[in-house]
Amino acid sequence: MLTWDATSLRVRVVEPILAVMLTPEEARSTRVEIRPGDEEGWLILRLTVGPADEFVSYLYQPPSMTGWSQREIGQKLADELHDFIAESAFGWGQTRDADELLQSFEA
Amino acid sequence: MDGFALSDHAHAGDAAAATAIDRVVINSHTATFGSKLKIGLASGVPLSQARTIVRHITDSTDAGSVNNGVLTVRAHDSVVSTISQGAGRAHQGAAEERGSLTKMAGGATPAIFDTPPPVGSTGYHNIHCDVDKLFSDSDGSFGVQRKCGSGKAPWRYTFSPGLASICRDPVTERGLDWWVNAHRKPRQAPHIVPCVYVFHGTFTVGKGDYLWYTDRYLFQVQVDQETGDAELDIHGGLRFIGPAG
Repeated sequence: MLTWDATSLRVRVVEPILAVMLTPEEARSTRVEIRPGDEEGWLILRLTVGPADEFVSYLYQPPSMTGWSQREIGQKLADELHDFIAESAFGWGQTRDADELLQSFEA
Repeated sequence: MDGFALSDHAHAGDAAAATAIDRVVINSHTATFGSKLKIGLASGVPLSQARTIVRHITDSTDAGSVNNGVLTVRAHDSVVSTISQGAGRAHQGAAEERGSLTKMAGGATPAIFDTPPPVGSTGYHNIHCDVDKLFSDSDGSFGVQRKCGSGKAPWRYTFSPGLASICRDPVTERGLDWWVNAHRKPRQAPHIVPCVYVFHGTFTVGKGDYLWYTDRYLFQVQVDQETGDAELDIHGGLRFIGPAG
């Protein structure tokens, strides 16, 4: 069964999606942290973009996400980032997606 | 809404201190939507002031019960409305779900919050496609709709004006937990936002699905100089069906 850890999620999901949903300048000002969550096996993603915008996602949540593919995890994250960016100071009102990238992810 | 006076403080050693209230609990539940608001008051307040806090949030006439410094009150029944798509988004045909009220006793946390009712039971409100439904009670309003043929159902939640008036920014939303046909789905994103924020997200569902959700909001309240820590739990059940007949 497909398993995920903080490193594989960061390299195969988080970083590629950030690369297409943030501008290079925004990406340079972004801090990425992945840490264990309160529930067993959960991984929490925390992004700080620039001086003021903070994003938190329950990135991986077994058992409800056990066996999820790269594309499924990426789609969930991209959906959440879509809302975050549109409400952020740096990307207010903008609609950004990662649809093209997600088509290249393993389904 | 204007603030209200808390001029009747209980003082240490005062006889009134014996009835000091250090927690206020407001319950609002129907079979398919409900919320539970708990406000912890660092310094206990007299019962009269605790009731004033309650009146700020709900116009329920329930006197409530007092037990070990906890005032527990049942708010009015929740209301389910259909929101028109036209100008002003006026309410249409508001109908109260009387008769399905789940009576809560003693302020104990109901176990149903994190346990979906059985699929097919009366714990799920029918959501016709292309119809915007709004569930409201004294704490806030939860709206949801699904376009006919779509597998997505956006939802939103806002604090009521009464609650927002005593809420202090920011609010920490845990993230919405949800189950489809009793199978748990991944928790949705948490937020730290102002009290007037429109909390929102999207359910992925299909026609005929039974969906149960619950969310938690943590924030501080302030009434004049009195502050408290508030914990609001909401929950509800939805069944997604076809066009309204």
